[in-house]
Amino acid sequence: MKQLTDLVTPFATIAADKQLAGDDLAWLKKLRLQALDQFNRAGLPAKKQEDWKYTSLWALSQQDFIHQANPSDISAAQCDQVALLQDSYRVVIIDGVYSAEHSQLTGLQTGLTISPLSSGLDQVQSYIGQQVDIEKAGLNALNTLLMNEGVVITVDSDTQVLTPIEILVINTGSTNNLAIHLRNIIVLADHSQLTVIEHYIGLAESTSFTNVVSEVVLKENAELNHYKLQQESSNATHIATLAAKQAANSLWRSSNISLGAKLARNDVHTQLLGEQAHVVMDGLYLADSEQHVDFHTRIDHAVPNTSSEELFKGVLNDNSHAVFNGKVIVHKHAQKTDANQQNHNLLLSRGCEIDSKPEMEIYADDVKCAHGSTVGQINEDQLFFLRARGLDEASARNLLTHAFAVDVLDRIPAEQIRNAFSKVIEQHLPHGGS
Amino acid sequence: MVIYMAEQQQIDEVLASDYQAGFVTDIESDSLPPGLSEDTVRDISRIKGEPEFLLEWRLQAYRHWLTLETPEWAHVHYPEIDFQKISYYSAPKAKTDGPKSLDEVDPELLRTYEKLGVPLDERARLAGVAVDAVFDSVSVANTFQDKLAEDGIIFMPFSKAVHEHPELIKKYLGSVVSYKDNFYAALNSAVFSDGSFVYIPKGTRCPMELSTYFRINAANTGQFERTLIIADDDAYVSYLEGCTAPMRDENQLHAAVVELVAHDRAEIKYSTVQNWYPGDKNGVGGIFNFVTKRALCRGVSSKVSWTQVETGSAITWKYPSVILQGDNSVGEFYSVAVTNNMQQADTGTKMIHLGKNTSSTVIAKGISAGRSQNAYRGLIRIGPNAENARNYTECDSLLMGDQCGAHTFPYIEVKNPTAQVEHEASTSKISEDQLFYCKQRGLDTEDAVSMIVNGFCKQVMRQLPMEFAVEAQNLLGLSLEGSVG
Amino acid sequence: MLEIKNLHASIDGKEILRGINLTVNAGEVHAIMGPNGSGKSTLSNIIAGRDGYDITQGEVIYKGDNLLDMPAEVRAQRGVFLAFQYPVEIPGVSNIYLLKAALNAVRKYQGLDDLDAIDFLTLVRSKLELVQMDEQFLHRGVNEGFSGGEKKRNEILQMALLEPSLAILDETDSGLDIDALKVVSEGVNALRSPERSIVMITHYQRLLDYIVPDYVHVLSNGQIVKSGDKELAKELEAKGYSWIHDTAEGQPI
Repeated sequence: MKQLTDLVTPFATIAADKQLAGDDLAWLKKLRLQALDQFNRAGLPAKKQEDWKYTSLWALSQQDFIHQANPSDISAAQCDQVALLQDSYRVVIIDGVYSAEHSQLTGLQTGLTISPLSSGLDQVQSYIGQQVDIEKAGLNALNTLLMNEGVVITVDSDTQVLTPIEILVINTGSTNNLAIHLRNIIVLADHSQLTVIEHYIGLAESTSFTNVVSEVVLKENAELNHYKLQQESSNATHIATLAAKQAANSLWRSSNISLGAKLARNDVHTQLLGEQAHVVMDGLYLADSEQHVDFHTRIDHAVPNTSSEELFKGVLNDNSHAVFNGKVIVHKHAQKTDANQQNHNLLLSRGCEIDSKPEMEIYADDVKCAHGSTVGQINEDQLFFLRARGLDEASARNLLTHAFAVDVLDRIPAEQIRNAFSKVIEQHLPHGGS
Repeated sequence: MVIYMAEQQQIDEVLASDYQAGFVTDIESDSLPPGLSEDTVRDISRIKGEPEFLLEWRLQAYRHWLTLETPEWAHVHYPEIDFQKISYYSAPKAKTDGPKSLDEVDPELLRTYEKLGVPLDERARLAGVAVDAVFDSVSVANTFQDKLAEDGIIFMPFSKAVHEHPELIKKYLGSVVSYKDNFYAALNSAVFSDGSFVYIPKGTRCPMELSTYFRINAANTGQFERTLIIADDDAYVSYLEGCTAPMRDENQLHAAVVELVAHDRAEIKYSTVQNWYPGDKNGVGGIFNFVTKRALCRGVSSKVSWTQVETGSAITWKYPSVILQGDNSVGEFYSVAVTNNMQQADTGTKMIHLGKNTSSTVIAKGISAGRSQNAYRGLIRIGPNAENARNYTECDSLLMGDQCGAHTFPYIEVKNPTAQVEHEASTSKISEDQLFYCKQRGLDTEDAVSMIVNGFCKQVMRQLPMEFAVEAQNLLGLSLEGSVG
Repeated sequence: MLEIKNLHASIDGKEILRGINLTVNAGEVHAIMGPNGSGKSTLSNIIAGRDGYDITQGEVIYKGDNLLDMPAEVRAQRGVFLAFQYPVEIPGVSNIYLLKAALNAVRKYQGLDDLDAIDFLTLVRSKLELVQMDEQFLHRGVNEGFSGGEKKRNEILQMALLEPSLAILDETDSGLDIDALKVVSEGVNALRSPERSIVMITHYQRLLDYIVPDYVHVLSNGQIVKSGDKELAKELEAKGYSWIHDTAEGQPI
């Protein structure tokens, strides 16, 4: 049987053999070597680590992955069909490779640049690796070692980008056991505004491993609406780190919707580094069959007068297992912090499990911090009410479950996106519960 | 904000109030020399003339302890403890067979308890409290045994129960907290010296509050007491525990184990006012309070309620827990934890729901002042067969001053879809508005804060038996008097 | 009783009061009216001693002593009472406990012994009638879950019990329906006496129909811009605050 650390050698070999993006950049080579060294030491995280207490990567460590996809393509119509939005800029990555053909990047607004990582690396030296700590997480080290594609987006100061950008990452399923390592970099200069949707979708029930790191930099007064929809195949392993640094008066709205994958793990982290910085960190996980979904969030209030609102909701069916671990840390001197974190879970069937761990670490006194966590069922009174109004039980349950879930979309300002998500959620929900 | 600064100063002065139970009692004691080995364990067992089964159990625990490492997951920091420098047994010098009545107890010792406000002698009867007093490692006085015996209630020092009721000890010792449970439980199992034993027979309601006062007196002594309380079917008992220690520059270790067993429809109420010496303003000295307390609601419709007011100790590490095994059983945890100066507390509870229709309530209030760190850590676990389990948890923290910390680490693990679990937590400081309101009505800062803090803790305080509530309220005042920001 | 001379105060560097002059003699009832943001609540907070204001100029003399030197609780003990616009909730502290602690603090300052439980309860009951409050309110947490009207009545109850020399009623009428307004007003009127001065701070004239003031002052932009008798209030009601701005801008009286 392989050990977790046995993974290192094959990955290291791949790194050595494969032509990786930006091979000609000395600083990047150095960074990759550091990452290799770190991954050699740390390996994949194990359950004895507190952050991985409820999530095991054992199965992942037992798989052999392929890092070069078979050539495959999809039609433009197919691409349109799976995209969340039609009227948007679109960056399409198919089986780990940027597709210029399917991307829609014509007529970019002045002040906005969008480029695939493979050709945009030279612009981002000062940002790459700044938001994620490869020392801490083996998976981030792995990503740094092997990152080969992704999207680099920059917005100049005083630029309001009104058209949303959809990063559409499609796994066609034509290559079984495909592993892809993506790195997205999003940098918003002062007083700029942008909406980005990361959309991951699997077209067939193939086994795959997606390891993505998104790094976000918000300068003063910048506003980023940042959404993520994950619909990978039920045999996929999806591991993502989403990390931001926020300057004064910046606003980061993050909504993270996890529907697919056999194992999905998301680490969402922001550091509020300037006064009046505000974060809205929301999420929804719907899991059924044998799915395992794990959200770890962390908000660092590092300076006075910052605020955060966090709402994560989960609906679990069958034998699914969900984990929510939310950390709010108020650092010394970060007075007048206002933080609220909520996690609410609906359990629909025998066999499912939720582990919820909302945490607060507070080192300043003049703060208003609260968190709440609940686990429960559909409200019987509401159910009875709906049945008394003529709905059959299955429809009533579905209606109430949908209402419970879409609540997390309330803070998405754009109606078009809210509706698109709501529709996807409705299609995904179990019909009737149990 | 000049006025604010002046107020902070005033608060700081009040916060600097002294530990009032910090005197040392001048009596001779018999102690084992510092050090821990199998021989130490054998010596303790021999001194106490224990039966073979107990020595064997201790030795198993000791051998297991050797394989363990000190736990490091709690949110507390302290220098490594040298277990070879601790004396594992200290007893006041007395006649070899121990005191038979209060008259035989060293009068110096009685004065100690008097200073501590323990109603040990005649006052005890008036107060309706039966007291077992543990001084360093041994039980020195035990009142009302005879009266309680009329009802079939056993309330005696643990070491005496070993001789008089070995079958009960054999049956229940380690049945809730195995010596394998954790590092300090293993250590306690190997070297525990005394403690209290309570057995309430079927259908009996214990007519008075039972109470134990613990005091560490001797220097370089660890205190490892073991308390075992069994409430048989339909029995009820309310048990109170108080703790103090003298002021010493050295840290002293207190690693107790408390096991409670509630049979069908039995109820145990366990209240603690913990006022071990917290160390001085700069964190020198003080007790390391590493305690394992656990209850087993073994029978149907049984109930265990823990109430604790924790104001003392340099470091507190304790999680009084309830295993809700019997259907319809109920677990409760009410806690006030106050930390000031350099104190550190990592405390909370575990509610393990196994039976059907089990319910638990957790109310935890943390107050941090000075440069202290105060953490709530709790686990709510609903097992796959715990149909209709319910939990409600509320933990609130109050911060006084910008040098302290308040942390919340709740774990919620649910494996049954019929469970309803609700957890709420908040952290704030005493609001300027509340403070100003009270002052506008003529109260000075000290009284205003004390009033607001007591209000903050009320849900917990009202769970305490009357005579303890007053003491706890005073302690709260002493530890914090007038704190705020 | 109270003499305010050229009082200037600011908060976070922003000047709110720009030279208030006001004299209140024993037994008088004064009304201070003004639009939102004119500095009404700042004035009452400064008299009561709330932190966070910088007094840049002027003085406040109460019974011959400089009030600004005293901590808030000493002002209260000496008979300065503020009926809050937004009485704060203090969870877990029962109303009766606060009343008793407050009364005994005042008595202690006056060199009197604490009232015993029976005398205290008798006294409180008599005051409860005044504001038509049920005895059960005594055992609830201070203002905890009280309606707006109950909170205001609770303020008047405390005032009746503490028998202050100078009572400042900050927007006591806000949020009250007409019945509650009557109850509160009757309570206040019952407390009018030759030894007691009352300063009412209000946005609307309505309250003054029930508690008729001896003097009315108009506060605008941090200054008292007009003073008069109760007729001034009526005029103000009819013509609106803009009338003051048009006629008296920058002319402190």
